[in-house]
Amino acid sequence: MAGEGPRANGFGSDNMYKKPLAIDPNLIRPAPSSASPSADSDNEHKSEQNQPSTGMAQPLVNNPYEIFGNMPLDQLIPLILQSRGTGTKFADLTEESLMEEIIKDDVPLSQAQRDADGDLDMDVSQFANEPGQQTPEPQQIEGPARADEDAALSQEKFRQLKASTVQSLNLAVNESSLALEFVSLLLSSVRPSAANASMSPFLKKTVPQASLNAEKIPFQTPSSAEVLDRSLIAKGWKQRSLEESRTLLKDSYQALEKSLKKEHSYWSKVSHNISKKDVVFRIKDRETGEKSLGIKYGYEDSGSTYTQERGIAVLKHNSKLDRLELVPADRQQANALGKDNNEKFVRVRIFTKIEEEDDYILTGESRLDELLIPNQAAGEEFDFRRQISRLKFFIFEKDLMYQLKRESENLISYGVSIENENKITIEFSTEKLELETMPVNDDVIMNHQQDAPKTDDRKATLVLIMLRMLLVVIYKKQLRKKLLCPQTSMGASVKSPKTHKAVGKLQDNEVLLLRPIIGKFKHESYVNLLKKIIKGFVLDVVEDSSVRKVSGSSHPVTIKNEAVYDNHIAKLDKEIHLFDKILEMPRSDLLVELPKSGTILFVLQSSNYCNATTGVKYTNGEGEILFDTSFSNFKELEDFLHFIVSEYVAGGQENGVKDE
Amino acid sequence: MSNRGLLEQLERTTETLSHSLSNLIKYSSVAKERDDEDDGEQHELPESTAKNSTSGLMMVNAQTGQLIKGIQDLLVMTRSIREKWLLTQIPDEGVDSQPELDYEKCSQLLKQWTQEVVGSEE
Repeated sequence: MAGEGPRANGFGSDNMYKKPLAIDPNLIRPAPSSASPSADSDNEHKSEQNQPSTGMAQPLVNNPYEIFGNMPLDQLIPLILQSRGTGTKFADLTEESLMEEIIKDDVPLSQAQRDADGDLDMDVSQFANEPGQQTPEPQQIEGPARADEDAALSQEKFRQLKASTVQSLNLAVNESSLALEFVSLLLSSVRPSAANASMSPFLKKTVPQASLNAEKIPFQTPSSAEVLDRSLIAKGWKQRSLEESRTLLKDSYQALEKSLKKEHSYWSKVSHNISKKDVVFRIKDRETGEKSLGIKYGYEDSGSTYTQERGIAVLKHNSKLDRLELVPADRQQANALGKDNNEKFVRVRIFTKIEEEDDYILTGESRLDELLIPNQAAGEEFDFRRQISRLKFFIFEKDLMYQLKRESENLISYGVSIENENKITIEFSTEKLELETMPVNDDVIMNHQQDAPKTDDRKATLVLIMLRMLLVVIYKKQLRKKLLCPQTSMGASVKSPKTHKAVGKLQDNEVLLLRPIIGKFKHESYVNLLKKIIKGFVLDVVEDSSVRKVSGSSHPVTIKNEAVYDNHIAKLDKEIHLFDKILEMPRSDLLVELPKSGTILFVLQSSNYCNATTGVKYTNGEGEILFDTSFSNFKELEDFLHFIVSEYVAGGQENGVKDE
Repeated sequence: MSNRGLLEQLERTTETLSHSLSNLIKYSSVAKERDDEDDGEQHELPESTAKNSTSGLMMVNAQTGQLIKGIQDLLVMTRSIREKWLLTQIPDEGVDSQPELDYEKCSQLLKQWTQEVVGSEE
């Protein structure tokens, strides 16, 4: 209704305030109190519409318009309806009908105006002062602007919205004006002129000036005791904070000094123990997650192809014992998996066959590396280098065994058998070689130290040393290959173009550990056998005949004019060539000289180190080559020799004798 | 990190260190001499109130922390310098390389090996 009321009032103002009140403000009270608006109120209304401005307005101290303005719509509309009598509908109220009513009431109102002039004046002034009455005007302007929305919004809804907006505005204005009044009143006792300007006339009238008062609280300067107290507290706080900062500094100093000491000793040890040749790199410690330094002890960079162990260790500082420790990265994992004692070494044992019993007895055992023997006397610095050496030693031994097993796989027809994961045996005619990896433990070492020296100990040790050296040769070949053709070195299957002539058709990457040694042994026994055969079939038969060893001519050991590489490769080449003698296929040339009947040249050689072929070349007294053939079977050789000797030599000799 | 970078970092760290140390000293005074003066004057000096206020305490704390952190940074730096030193070591060609092998002797030894092990005389 807030729209309706003001509209009525606005209309009233247009008509010189002849009828300022659309409804009787007095109705506000009777309406809620009366149980039911009686029908006789209809009669009252006719008179009441005029009366309030005359007499009834008097008892109202407050502004009735304010009350109307503040009233919610659902209260105000019943009031209007009540004032207009029962049976009227709010929807029936139109501007025109209201106009007509006002014109009808025009005459009595003019009388009333004359009668109660002052009251009316007051109303007018209040009217002008009343903000609630002024605000609707802009809203009326807004009205047409919103008209478009009416199509979408229902009329009722629009009205409701408008009403609630206006109501909120009114409320706000009222609140602020109330606050203004309160402040003005409060101020009026101290600054009357300033307060007067902002007080509403209504307030001025109803409430005497300076009737509201408040006490002024002066700013108290703190007493010296208080100041002292405060500064004491402040100082106390300060002291405490300084104390905290002191302990903080002290603690962190101590912690840092400790770590500095640790760091210092770590680094001094590092600089002391690690030489420029060690491969050091950054690594993350898997156990603690700290950044740490690692050392490479594996031989990967030296040409090893062993990949079962990474060959790197974390360099750790043991603060308890104040020394450096190496923890292999693989061992951490191994420990996690529950396997330990990764330390194994290769032992070579020689067993000699006892002829009559067909059994073997142990006649030789390789010497223990001194690294394996605990060394208490060693100093601390030595200790660390020793750790590195041990790690290097063990990974090398593992590599060795790995390669030995690889090689042995193909040698089964030559008496080489892999007994188990850790053991390889090689049988010869009179002895047996046993290569075994042994875990390092006290028993093994003790037993070994207590054992009496045996006849073949030195031989076993030499074999072991040679095996190791041959592995190094393999490394070197690998390295050389990498240097020469880095792009193809990755694939092991790629054939190196630079196979050395002495090694013949064997590839550089072929494992050559056992075969050269086995070949040497076998060849030796073949030579003995051959000699025996020669003795039995030639020397014993032909008088004055002799056998002598001649050096084979077909060994191109000299390094041919290869392309000039850099020093490293040249050095590698030299070092590899040193072993040509060991690695070459065994070959023995035996020349049997038969007086007057020429010579027989036996060439004992092998195509794969282990087998034996015997070439026989018989040249008669006239220099003619009568036979040049070869045998891989000694039985056939015997027969052939028998044939030659009986047919040519013996016959020839006889002929010769006859000739004489 | 390059040498230059390290130097710059060192510069920065020392700068912060000296800065925080001087700040710490500044804020750590309990302002005795000011107390001797007029009390009213103390209120007008925002600096001195700051010194006695919580912000002053916080400053002390922060500067202490900064001091410690600066020193830790220095330690980390020394560590990285040491690592750098260790990791960039390259064996000298001349001094550290293995002594030249006596090839003659080696081949002699190998021959000897053959003799001893195989028992044959070449």
